[in-house]
Order: sequence, then structure tokens, then C-alpha cells
Amino acid sequence: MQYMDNYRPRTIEEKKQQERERAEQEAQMRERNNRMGLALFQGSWIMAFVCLALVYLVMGAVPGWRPAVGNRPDALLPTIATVILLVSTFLARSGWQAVTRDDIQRFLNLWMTAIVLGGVFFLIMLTQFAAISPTETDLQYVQLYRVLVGYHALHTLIIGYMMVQVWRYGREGRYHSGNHWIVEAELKLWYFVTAAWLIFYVVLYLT
Amino acid sequence: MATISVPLGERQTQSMPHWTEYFRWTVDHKIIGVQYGVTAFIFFLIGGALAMLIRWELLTPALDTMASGTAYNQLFTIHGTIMIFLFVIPMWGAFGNYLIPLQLGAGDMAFPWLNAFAFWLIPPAGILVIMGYFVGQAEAGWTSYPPLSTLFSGDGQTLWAMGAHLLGISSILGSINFLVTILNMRPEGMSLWKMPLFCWAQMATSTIAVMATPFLAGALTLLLLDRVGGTSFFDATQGGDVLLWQNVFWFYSHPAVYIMILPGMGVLSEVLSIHSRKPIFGYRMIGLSSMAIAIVGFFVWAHHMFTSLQPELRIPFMITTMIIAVPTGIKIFSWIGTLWGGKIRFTSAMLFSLGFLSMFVIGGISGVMLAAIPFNYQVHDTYFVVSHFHFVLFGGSVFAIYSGLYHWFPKVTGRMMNETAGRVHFVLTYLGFFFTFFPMHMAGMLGMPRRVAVYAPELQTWNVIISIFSFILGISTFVFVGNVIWSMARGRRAGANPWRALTLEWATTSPPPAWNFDEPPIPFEDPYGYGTEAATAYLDAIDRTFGVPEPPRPNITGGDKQDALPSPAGD
Repeated sequence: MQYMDNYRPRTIEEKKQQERERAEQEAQMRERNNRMGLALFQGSWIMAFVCLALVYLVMGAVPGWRPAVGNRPDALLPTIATVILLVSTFLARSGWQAVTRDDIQRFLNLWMTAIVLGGVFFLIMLTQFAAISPTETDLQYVQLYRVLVGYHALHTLIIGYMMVQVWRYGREGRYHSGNHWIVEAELKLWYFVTAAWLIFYVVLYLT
Repeated sequence: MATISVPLGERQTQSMPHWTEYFRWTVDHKIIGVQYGVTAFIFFLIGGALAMLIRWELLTPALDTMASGTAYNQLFTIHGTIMIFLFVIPMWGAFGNYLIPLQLGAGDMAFPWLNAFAFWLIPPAGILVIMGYFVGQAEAGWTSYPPLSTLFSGDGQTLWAMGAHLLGISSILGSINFLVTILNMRPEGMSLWKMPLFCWAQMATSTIAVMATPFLAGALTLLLLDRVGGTSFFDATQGGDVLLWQNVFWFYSHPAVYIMILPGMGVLSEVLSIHSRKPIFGYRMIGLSSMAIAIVGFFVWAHHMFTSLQPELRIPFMITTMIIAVPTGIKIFSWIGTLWGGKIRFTSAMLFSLGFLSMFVIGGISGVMLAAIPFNYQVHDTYFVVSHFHFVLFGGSVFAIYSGLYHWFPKVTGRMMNETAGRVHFVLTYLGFFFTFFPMHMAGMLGMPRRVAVYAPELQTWNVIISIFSFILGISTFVFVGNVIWSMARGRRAGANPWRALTLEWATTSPPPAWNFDEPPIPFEDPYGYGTEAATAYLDAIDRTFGVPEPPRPNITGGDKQDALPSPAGD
């Protein structure tokens, strides 16, 4: 009965050992699944931003579609906002690293700073959303500009709210070096906000 | 002697979950798979009934059954939307959900909760689309081209866009789940190159869905804003661009054609090999060609717009469109190579797979014809195009769906389907399908435009022929439904592995228990290695344990007393 060798009855000790190994493997697999699933989601959903950026570029290729340079939104404030967002992302990453070292107070401080900077970014972009109003000649441009800025702001708001939740849970002591997946996942979503904004920033202000 | 690690399965069957389980939130991938399948099939019946109405209207050249041209526009719009978004795509979700974990020897999908969530987005989306009937149904076709979809459609078009949004999210979440399960949860010893080809097909499909569907989301967002947000992105009178929608929509929707066909190709690879007892011919090429189709599929979208495209872009898109025939051809030749010299058993599953093979080739050839710009100009928006995409989507996808249903029905229910009824179903479907859609080539070349209820009287003969056979095609569906109901109640017991297959879904009971496998199964080196030492030893062991398979007995009466292993496909 060689063909059934892998299915011979196990002893109790062997079964226990097997169960321990299986539980460990399943935990590792869950972690791998979570990481890959989130990466795929980010890679997928960023395509919606790419789509809107391409729409902007395609429409912008028509001569006269965009207002003259002097009439477009000024790039200074958005550039400052972009730098603030980048700093926020860097601090969030440092916060996550602090959790992995069990330095929870440092995590809370850095994470909250990142949230505040994210809020500043959000507010600056809200002013940019309202900064221009359409005229007869640039109706399409203004509408699309607002769609892009607003679409990103919506994501910033939702993911920013999730960052606040993570901070609250962190204050309750839920995260430590052995349990920081949620922090990591939230950080990656913040990366997503940053990457999506960089696409829009280049398209809206540098092209 | 070879060491066999795959479990033999058991003679007795598990019972299916209680029927109320199928109406509840559950994270069991098998129940979710059945939920997907039944929901999709209900939508298929609705979409099919609408098709019958279309054909009834077209029996005469004048407008008679429909109250107005608008009603006819609404009819084909919802027919197309249901068939594509609510039948074919979710039906492949059904197969993927049920089979991927089983074929990989896993206990469930990577994200069971997300899996359930993705399914439960579909019924409300379908209801949204259909509810448009009460507020002014969408009437811009399933492609929803502006300005038809922005200026001329009722509020149902808004519901249509919201429904499509939900379905897109469902599709993305489901695909992420498939990809992670396939990439992370294969058992020890199963590299990508030893994975069942259905999983390869699902991997390619999911890659497309993950990358392309967000484009649809972007386009739908703009469409919704135009309809309810006061913008005018697609309104040329306000400086908008109507072709913008077409570009973005087809950037999703042409790859979506492969979302609808690649899993069918995966089904074919399984069925042809198992039911001809032959190792798959060109395993790697079939797997790689799936990925090639997925990649090239992103570079062909503008062939839907040859008549409105800038001249300098037409030739490149003609070339890429023709190139995509190459990986498809590789598959066709590989399948013929698989059949060559095999012990072919003409089971219902096999018949439908052979039906796919023949009908899809016709759809492929007319696809290459349409890729040629001068020919495309002549038949653009005629019934030639309608014929082409039905040869691909019905002759391809639906035949493959039927093949897969006959093949895996024993695994899902523990009972065999009635072969006689299956063959009747096949003959009616094959003839009904062919004589419905092949004459459309001629009608199209004679100038019959698509999406019209009133046509030139000299085209009536063709339309009558088409309509009569379409009614036969419609009737064939009821043979299948009757067979399913009868077989679930009285079909012969299937046993674990009625087809004597080597892939892992057959290495557990039928239906499988909630946990799928008692022990993590160890797969064969070659999932299609019929005739190898390991496979022979395994299949001999099954025969010794459960008895030698019976030859196909299509006329056998069913019932619980028929407990012997029914195996139409034994070595």
C-alpha cells in the first residue's frame, strides 16, 4: 500500500505537531495574502487615477482647451502641499518603524504629526478646488480640474480618517512589534494617496 | 511502483448544504460559487427572454411588437448589459470561486469575507439596472455611447451607470482574491507550471480585470457627473468630447472580452484532456498564450472605432488586432493536438467543448476579417458585427459555460447529469445557435444595420430564419434547466472522481466538505499526465477500491439505488 503512505493513521503526538505546524503556516500565509492583496488593490485602483490623468492629457492636447498660463491655478500652493504630503508620508513610515521596535510613544507622536500634515494638505487642496471658476472658454478645463482634485480629496479624506482610527487604536495599546499589520496596511494606503497625488500634480501643474 | 499522494476520494457523497444556506451571507467559497452561478443563470434567463422579444419584433420589417423605437432601444440595451455584466462575467466568478481553492488543494479563498462581499454587490447592481424600467430605461446600448447616454436616455441610464460601478467593484475585489489565492495558496509541489490550466486562465483573466476595470470606473464617474453633476465632458456643444467615452470605455471593454472568454478556454483545457484521456498538448504554450492574450488585449481597443479614428492610428490597431489571433491560434492547435489520438468520450461536457472549438473558430475568423480596415468600413454597425460577437460570446463563452457545468455538476451536487438530456440540449443549442447567428453574417453584408427595429423588407427572409432558430435556442435552455432539476433529485451518485481526473478537485468527496480536504493533498507532477506511471497507479487504485468504471449509459434511469460509480470517461 505504498500509494497510501501519506495517509497512514498518525499518532496523537504526530497529530498535535502537525496541527501546530499547520497553524503556523496558516498565520504566515495570512500575512503573505494580506500584503499581496493590498498591493494588488493599490496597483488596480491607481488605474482609476491614471485613467483620469489620461483623460486630462487627451483633452488638454486640443489647442486652446487649457487657459493661458497666466490664467491657470498657481503652482506654488500645490507644490507646498505636495511637499507637506511627502513629509507626512515619511513621518507615517517612521511611525510604523517605531511600532516594529515597540516604541509606541514615538509611533503615536509621528503618526499624529503625519495626520496633521495630511490635514494641512487636504485644506490647501480644498482652497485650490475653489480657487478657479469657469468662464465660457475654459468650462471643460475647470470641470476636469475640479474632478481630479476632488476625486483625490475624497480618497485623502477616507484614508485620512482611517489613519485617525489607527492612531486611536494605537493609543489603546493594540499594536506592538508582534502585531502591526494594520499600521503597515494604513501606511501603504497613505503611500497610495501620495502616489495618486504625484500623478495628478505632474499632470495638473507640470504639463 | 510510483508513490501516489493524492487521496482517492470516497464512494459515498456528502450532502449539499441546506438550501437556506444559499440565501445567507457565508464565507464558504463553494456556497459563494453556487450563489454566483445561480444568480448569473437567473440573469441569463432574463437576458434570454429579452433576446426572444428582440427576435419576435424582427420577424417583420415593421415596428409591431414594440410600442416604439425607444422601447426597442431599451430592450437591446438591457439584453446586452445583462448578458455581459450580469451573466457571463459573474458566471466565470462562479467557476473560479468553486474551483480555484479545490484545484489548488486549499481550504478556502485567500479572503473569504471579501469573497462574499464581492458576490453580494451583484444582486443589488442587477436590480439597479433592471429598476431603470420604472424611471425611463437606459437606451444607449450596453456600450452607452454619449450623447445617447447623456442627453437622450432616461434616469434609468443613471441607475445603469451606478449598477455598472458596483459590478466593477465586485469584479476587482473578486479578481484580487483569485490572484492572491492562485499565487500564494498553491500546495507544496505545485509550481505555476504544474497548476491546472483553468487556474492559469483565471490568473490571466483576473490580471485583466484588476488592471482594466478601474478605467471603466473612471469613465463611469465622468458619465455620472455629466448626468447628475452638471458637467459636460461628453457634450460636444459645451466643448466636450464624445469620442473620449469610446476610448476609455473600450480600453476596459475590449480586455473585458477576454475576461469573458479566457476562463472558457481554461474549461476547455480541462474537459478536452480529461474526456479524451490525453495529456494536454503544449501545456506551457496554453498557459503563456493566456497571458499573451491578456497583455495584447490592452492594445487593440481602438479597432471598435475604425470609422471615427484618426487615420494614422488605424493601421497600428489593425496590426495589434490581428496579432491577438496568434496566441488564440496556439490554443486552438494545442487543443486539437490534445484530442488527436485520444480516447474521446462524447459526453455532454465534451460535446459542448467541441462545440466551442468549432464555433469560436468561426468567431475568430470573422474577428480577423473585421480587423481589416477596408472590410470593417463596409460592415461597421451591421449584423455582421452582431454575428461576430455572438460567435465569440455565445459560441465561445456560453458553450464553455455549459461544458463546465456538465463537467463539474457531479462535484457540486454529488450526482451525475442525465446524458441523454445533455445530448438533446447540445444538439438543440448547437443547431439553434449556428442557424441563428451564422445567417446574420449574410444579413449584415446585405446591409442590415444593428440596433434597428425597422428594416428593409428584402431582408425579412433572413430575419425569419434567424428568429425561428433563435426560438429553438431559447427552448434548448429549458432542456438544460429540466436536466439540472431532474439530476439533482434523481441523478446517479457521482462518487468522488467520476471522470477519473487527476486534478485535485476530484480528490475529495462530491460535494466536498466545508473544509474541502481532510489532509492537505499533494498534487501530481503533471495534472494531465494520463498514461504516466503515477497516474495509472492512482486510477488503478480507484478502480480497485470502487469498481471498474461503467461505459457511458446515457439511457440509464436515475435514482438513489444507482450507487455504482458512473464513469463515462474511464481509461
